[in-house]
Amino acid sequence: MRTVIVDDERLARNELRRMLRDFREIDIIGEAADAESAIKLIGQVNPDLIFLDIQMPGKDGFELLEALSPAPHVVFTTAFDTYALRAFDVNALDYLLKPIDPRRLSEAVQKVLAEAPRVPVVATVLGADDRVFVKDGEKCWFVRLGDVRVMKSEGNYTRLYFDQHKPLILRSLNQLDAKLDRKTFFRCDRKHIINLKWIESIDQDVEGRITVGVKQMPDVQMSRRRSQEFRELLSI
Amino acid sequence: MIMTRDREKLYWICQASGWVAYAGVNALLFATSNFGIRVAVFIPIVFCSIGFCITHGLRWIFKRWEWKQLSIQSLAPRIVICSLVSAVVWEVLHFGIVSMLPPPPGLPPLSKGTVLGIGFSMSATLFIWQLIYFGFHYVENYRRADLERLRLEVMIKDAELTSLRSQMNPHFIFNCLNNIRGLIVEDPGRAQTVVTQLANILRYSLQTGNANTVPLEDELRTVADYLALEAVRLEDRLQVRMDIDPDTLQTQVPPMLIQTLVENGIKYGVATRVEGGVIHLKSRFKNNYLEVGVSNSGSYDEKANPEGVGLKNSAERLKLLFGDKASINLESSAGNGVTAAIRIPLEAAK
Repeated sequence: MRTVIVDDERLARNELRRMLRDFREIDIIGEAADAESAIKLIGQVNPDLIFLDIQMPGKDGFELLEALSPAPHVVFTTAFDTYALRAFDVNALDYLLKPIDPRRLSEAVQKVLAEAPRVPVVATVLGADDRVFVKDGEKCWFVRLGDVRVMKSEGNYTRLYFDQHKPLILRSLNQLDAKLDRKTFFRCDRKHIINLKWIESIDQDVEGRITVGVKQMPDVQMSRRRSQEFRELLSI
Repeated sequence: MIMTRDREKLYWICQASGWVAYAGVNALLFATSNFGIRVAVFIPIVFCSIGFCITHGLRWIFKRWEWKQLSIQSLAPRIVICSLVSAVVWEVLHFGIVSMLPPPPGLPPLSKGTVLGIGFSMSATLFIWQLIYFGFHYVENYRRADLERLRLEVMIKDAELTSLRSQMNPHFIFNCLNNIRGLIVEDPGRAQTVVTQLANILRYSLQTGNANTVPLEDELRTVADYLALEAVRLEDRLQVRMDIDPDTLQTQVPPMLIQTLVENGIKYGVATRVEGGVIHLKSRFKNNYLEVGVSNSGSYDEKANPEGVGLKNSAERLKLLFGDKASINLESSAGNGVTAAIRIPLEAAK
């Protein structure tokens, strides 16, 4: 499991490195001391797992994650931070308290290994099994893109509709469109991308315009051009 | 503690009910005599109305010339004189009004003895009235002073508790322990030093919880230990400059005040910046004041800097210990930094 350690304290990184030597499956491929260099590093080496300190100068751990797509597996670390701890507990995120107890570390690593191993992804395409990190006030999620029914543009942000939630993500719809897997996600008009797997109804009017009904969402009518693309996509 | 509005109400209630009761008693006494209804009702009403007005006038005099502030020695003769003079006025007014009406039948004429006797009892009444008035205020003042003293004690204890709690800062301690663990392998000698420094800091914050002041030297020693620990964590992101005038080292300062300022300086000015920053400690005498400055190179951003409230508490603490001339302020320093400037007047600090 390709792993990156992100923590602004060198001694803390060393400590964790030392402890991870006990785990054969963990392969440490890089370290970063702040959010900006972490983003660069992660973009280059595309790790499967990162150990992420929440309190760092500049951007904090959450902000770092929001900038990554897709988001890798994450285990958070913190010395003591009531705000972060509450966020972790409320959202059932994996975290470790520093100084790290080796038993807790072992549990966390086993948990990550047990989760469906991610297919090494070419970072340019986001598919249904990829996840993005979304934070909305106190709530945060690692959202599996396949669970998102509709993505709706709201200026520089996009609203993701999944389960009962609809948080905003700091990406424009165009940015997402450029990276999303075309087999699963379809840009049906300027403001919407729909997940084909959640379509419940397809209707066509006399002029060939298709109206799509997605579960728990208002219907979307597509222009003739888009409708044509849609038909080709589905080979209707 | 009675508020001013309620005090006014209380006064009027006491005054009115007191004089009405007095009139009532007098009426009863007259009723047992056989001077007739007119005497029994009319005279007490006149008597007490005048008394009411005169005592109200006395109250005005007390307030106007602030007699409440006087000591018992200066107040006593004044009360006596007031009683006598007011009694004369009272008698004159009373008999003046009564004589304007036809005398009721059977009322014996006034003799010198009666006049003197009535005058005397009037003085006594007035004397008692003033005793009640001033007595009430003395008791109130005593209670208020007591309350002030308690409030002060609570404020001091509260400040100590807060600074103690912030020193028991869990984040700091756990990071320290984590770093020590790392150092044990990498640099065991340093690990030992760090443990000693951490122990010193904890001991200092526990012990000085009871003291009002400590010599600047002791406080700075703890600050130095603390900075050494932060240096382990921040490495070259933290730079420290010290400009301490050796003459100032024995001056008494509140414990944990400078320590807290340094902590905040690092928390908001150094640790939050990727490039780190500088902490600059200064201490000198100037114009009969001890001036201590804790600067950090971060920028002064009101919203990001919640120590505003903590600073207000520290300022109050300083004033409690050293008087109104002591102060602590945040100033922006040369070259885009922030300085917490403490000023302590020297007469109070020795």
